[in-house]
Order: sequence, then structure tokens, then C-alpha cells
Amino acid sequence: MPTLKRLAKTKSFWILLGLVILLCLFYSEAKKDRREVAKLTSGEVELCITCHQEVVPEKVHDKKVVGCSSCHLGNPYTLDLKEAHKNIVKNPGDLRYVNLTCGQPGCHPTEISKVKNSLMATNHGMIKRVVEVFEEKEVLSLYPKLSVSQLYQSEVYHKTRNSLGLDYYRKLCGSCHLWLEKGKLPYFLKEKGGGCTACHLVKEEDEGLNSSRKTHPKLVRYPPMENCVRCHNRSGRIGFTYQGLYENEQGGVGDEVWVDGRWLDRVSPDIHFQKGLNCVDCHTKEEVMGDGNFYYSLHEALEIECQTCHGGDGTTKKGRKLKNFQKKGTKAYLEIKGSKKLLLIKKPVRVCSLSYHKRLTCVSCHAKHMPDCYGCHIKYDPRETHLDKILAKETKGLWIEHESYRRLALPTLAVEDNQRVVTVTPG
Amino acid sequence: MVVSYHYFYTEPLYSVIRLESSVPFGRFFRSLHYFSSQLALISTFFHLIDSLYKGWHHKKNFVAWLFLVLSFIVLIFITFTGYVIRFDEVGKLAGTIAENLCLSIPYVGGVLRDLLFPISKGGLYRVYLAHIYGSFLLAIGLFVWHASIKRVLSLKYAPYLYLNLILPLIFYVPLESEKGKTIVTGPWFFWGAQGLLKFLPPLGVLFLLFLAVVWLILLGFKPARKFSSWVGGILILWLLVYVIFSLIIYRDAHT
Repeated sequence: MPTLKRLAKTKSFWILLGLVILLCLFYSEAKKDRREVAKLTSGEVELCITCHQEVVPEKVHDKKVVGCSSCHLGNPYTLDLKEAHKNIVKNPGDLRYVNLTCGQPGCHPTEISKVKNSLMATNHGMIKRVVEVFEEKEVLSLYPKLSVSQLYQSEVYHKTRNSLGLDYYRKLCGSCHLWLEKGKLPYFLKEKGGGCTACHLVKEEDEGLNSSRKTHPKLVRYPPMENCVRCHNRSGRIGFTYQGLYENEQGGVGDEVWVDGRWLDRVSPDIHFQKGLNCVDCHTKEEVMGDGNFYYSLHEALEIECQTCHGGDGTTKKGRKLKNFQKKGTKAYLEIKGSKKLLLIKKPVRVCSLSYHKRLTCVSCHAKHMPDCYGCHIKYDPRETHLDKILAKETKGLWIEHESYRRLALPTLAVEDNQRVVTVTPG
Repeated sequence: MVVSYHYFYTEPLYSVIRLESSVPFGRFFRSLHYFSSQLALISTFFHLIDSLYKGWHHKKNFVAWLFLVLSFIVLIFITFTGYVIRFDEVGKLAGTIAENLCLSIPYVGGVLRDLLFPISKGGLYRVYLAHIYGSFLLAIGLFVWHASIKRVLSLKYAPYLYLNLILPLIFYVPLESEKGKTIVTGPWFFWGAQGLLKFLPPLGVLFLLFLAVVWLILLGFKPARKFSSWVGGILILWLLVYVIFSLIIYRDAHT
């Protein structure tokens, strides 16, 4: 230290130090990659696109319009790799931070609060049903509006850790909700979840092996059927039955194999599928993405019926008008949202309005077949482990599903609320 | 000089980023500009504390003390306008807050806004001028009067000069984006005011800031010497409150 003090009193020391600083400065400048500042069409500076050359295959979220940082956050004002990628998010649709990305002011702020209250995000109907089956009323009295986002909270986890019903949900149902972090679970489950992108994202093929440019996944306004069926393929198997697939418990020559290894037979599909209608052509935005209300079951959330279009004026039972329903003279049409193709809607025939058919719902006569399973039961083995889809790790307690046999048959009919005859299937 | 040569108030953010990304040594000069202002602010603050501790505010004449206090205030103002005129997302927000704070002052608020922060009316031109004029005022009117060139060039001050050069080489202070933030913070010396604004009306916060300046000036005022322990105590208390509110904002922004 005394030497340093002595040195600090000499001019040559400071001159030498100045030269060292100058050398460092020249070295850092020589290393620097100089680039022109990139701007968006709005005139805003966005340096991300200086390096990121990925092609965004759609107009609304075009890179030159919204840039990268509007969705993926980070700092668009610097070319410093570390600083630019600070707080970056891979999946902007994740409900944990969607308020800062898709839901930011100027983009889709109103949709976000509705989606968070929708059944696809809360899963309340499923959770409630499972807990009721296990006769664990204390869970619902503790959390009457228990939703999947709460299951991620450590406090709720510790208070409900002895619930077998919730353990069953976490292990067998917990991968089909919007709060699931995309890519967190292994195997085919990694494609599930992701908030907004669970439905609105479509993977695009890269331009080719020889191309250095990667293609950004495509965001679509109307989710394709494949995205819906990624989750809606269990319980009533609606996603399969609609497109003419029947889950066969045995499998055979020519059968298709689903991503999770289940065997699928080709059977005749639903007439709407044959005509080219996707799920979102009938199901409204409010049904799927929520209308802001908290619903206790799917039954409460659904609002379209066959009569909404067939014989109706396109108004749902909650009084909402279908945006793709058109009336031209005496004829009614439904527009396919993606292709804009108009489909003529058939009116109910005279036999439908006969007095003795009054209590029948349309599907009780028109549904050709419905998959039915018999002898379904579950086994719980506390010694083994099972992947908890909420915690994303193996925990004690293995659930094994069994069924005796499955049949594709005429739907079973039941009387709902002592009023209407409806089709039923085990869920 | 290098920074101002490449800066255009009509395209503030673009020109600052271009200075960093395209101009040779641009990032170094911007960082030097930033760190020297921060060091000047911190040094002046400690100079104030040191003067109070050693009793120079009583030993020297009142005008010298008044100039030291004013230097500090002008330095805060210049640093703040510097934060605004780079016009990144947080700078934009800081400018809007400053403009509205001016407008909250009765009678003279409109005039003060038009003079210093008419951002919503005329962009950054006047804020930029205030930054430049303020810097000249500080350099010529106050610092030159306050410290002689001979003293500045002596080896005694070399470590401080070299610190200014070394810091920009080691640390990089990027322009800030509000993306991904639920709470945006202003410059660090403004955190306390930002915290106070959460609980008090704008005029109340301005009054508290003004009160601190008056109190600080009063410390060097000879007729008020017999109350100096009271005034000093109140100032320490005020500073404590300001630090607490700064910490509140820091906590809110980082949780």
C-alpha cells in the first residue's frame, strides 16, 4: 500500500494508467460489431430484429409491425446480448405473465381476464367433480371456487395434500388446462398448455435444411381443430368422434395410433366435420375463452344448441348472436371462419316438431354413434410413483385406469332434469 | 460535446441508440457522460454532508453555502433532464410525471411547464435546452467560481478523474424499456419522490421537496444559527423518510 501511495504521487504512473485505459478502450471498440439501428413500421426502435432473422408467417404479428419485444419482452434498445435478453419470455401466451404480453394495453387486454376465468383456465368443473366423487367436501368448503391456478400455490398444496381426489386430478387430468407451462412436461404432454398459445399457435415448418432462417410459429385467430383435440380427446372422446375416430381398446391392422399410444379406428364422422366445420365455427368465443363469469361446470358455460342455427336465427341461449350466421331471404348460412365459405343450414323437418318428439334433443335421434366404456375402474397404489402434472415431478401414489371393454354403439339416452331426453356417455 | 453532437431532440431515442451502436466510441462516451453525472451528484451530496459535519456552512460566508446548495439542486435537475431527454420508455414516463408535477403548482404551474417540460405540447426541445443551459450554468457559473482550475488539475483529484474513465469501461448502462415491468422506476435519486407520490398529492410532494431546499439553505443563514440543531435534526429526519420511501419503491419494483 505505501508503494501505491508513492506511485499515485508521480505523474508517470497516471500517464501509464491513462495509456492502459486508452488501450482497453480501443480493444473493446475493435471487438464491437457495429450495426444500423432497426425501426418498426411505427417508427419505434427495435434492435432485436437486427439479429433475429426468423420469419413470422402472418401479418398481424409481423416482425416489422410489432417487433419481438412487444411479445417476448426483453430490452429492445440494446445490442448487448445479456441486457437485451434480460427478463425475456419464450412463450408470451403463458398466463403467469400474459398481462405484460398479449394482454398489454393496445393488444388484447379485455380477453385476458375473461380467459383466466374460463373453464379451460380454472378447470373448476373437473376439479369439483373429482373431489365430489371422492367425497371430500371439506376441500370445497375450504376453497369453494378452487381452480387449477390455486393448485400451484404452496399454501393450497399443503392444505390439500391429503386429498386423494386432488391427487387423482393432478396426476390424471392436470395436463389439460391453460396454466400448464408449455414444454414443462415430458413426451407428448410437452405440446399441451401454454395459455393463449395452447390454442392460437400453429407450428410452421422451417424453410428447409439449407436455409439458415428459422420460421417463427404461426399465430392464428381461429384455432385449428387439431389444437382443440390435443386436450378434448378423453372422457366423452368428443374430439375423436367428431372427426370419425373411434378409440379401440385392442387395435388392429390399419388402425391409427394417437400420440399417447391409443389405437384409433376410422368410422363415419359427424356431418359438420364432413362439411368442413371446425370446433370454433360453432362454439363461440365466449364459450371457449370465457365471458368473464366464473362457471361451475361446462354445462353452464356452453351456450350454443343445434336450434341456434337449425331453425333459429343464430342467437345462442344466452342471447348472443353468432357472428358467422347469415340470413339471405328465407335461407340461412353459416360461414366457415377460416375459409369464409358459406354453408347452407338445413331447417328441421316436420317430424322434429311433432308433439311426441317435443322432449327429444336433436342429438338423441341424429347422433349416429357414441363410444361407451364398460367396467371402468381405477386402482391406487400408494407404493409406486406417478407424474404429478402440476408439480411436474414424480410423487408417491400411482393411479391406474382399467376398463373391461369399449363399444361404439347407439348413444345411451337419459332424461335430464325430468324434462329433456339427452345422450349420455361416461366421462 | 461528443454526446450532444450526435443527439437530435426530434429523434431522441433513435439518435441515442445510434450513438451507441454506430458511432465509434459512442457507447463509451455515453457511459462516460452517465457515470460522470452520477459521480458528480454523489460527490456534491457528500460535499454537502462534509461541509455540514465540519461546520464550513458557518465558517464561510452565506453566499458560498447558498451556491453549494444551488449547485446540488441544479445538478439534480440536469441529471433528471438527462434521464428524460434520452426518451426511452422510462424517460418518457419520467417526462410526463415532471410535466404534470409542474402543472400541479397553482398559478405559476403552466408557465413553469412551458419553460421546462412542455413535452406534450412541443416535444423535447425545451427540456434539451434546459439540460444544456443548466450544464453551462453549473460548469461556468458555479463550479468555476467554486473550484479553481489549478486545484482540479492537481494529482490529488486524479483518482476521481480516472474513476470516471474506468467505470464506463467496466459497466454498461443500457437504455431502459418498460417491457415486462409492472412498476417502472425513475432515476435512483427520484425514487423517494416516486414513493411519496403514491401516498401524497403532487403538490404535497413538491412542497416537501421545496421545504428541504429551504431548510438546507437556512442552515447556512447566520440569524438562524441558534436553531441550527433543530433545522439539522429535521433535515436528517426528512432524509430518513426519503430513504424509506425510496426503499419502498425499490422493493415494489423488484418483487
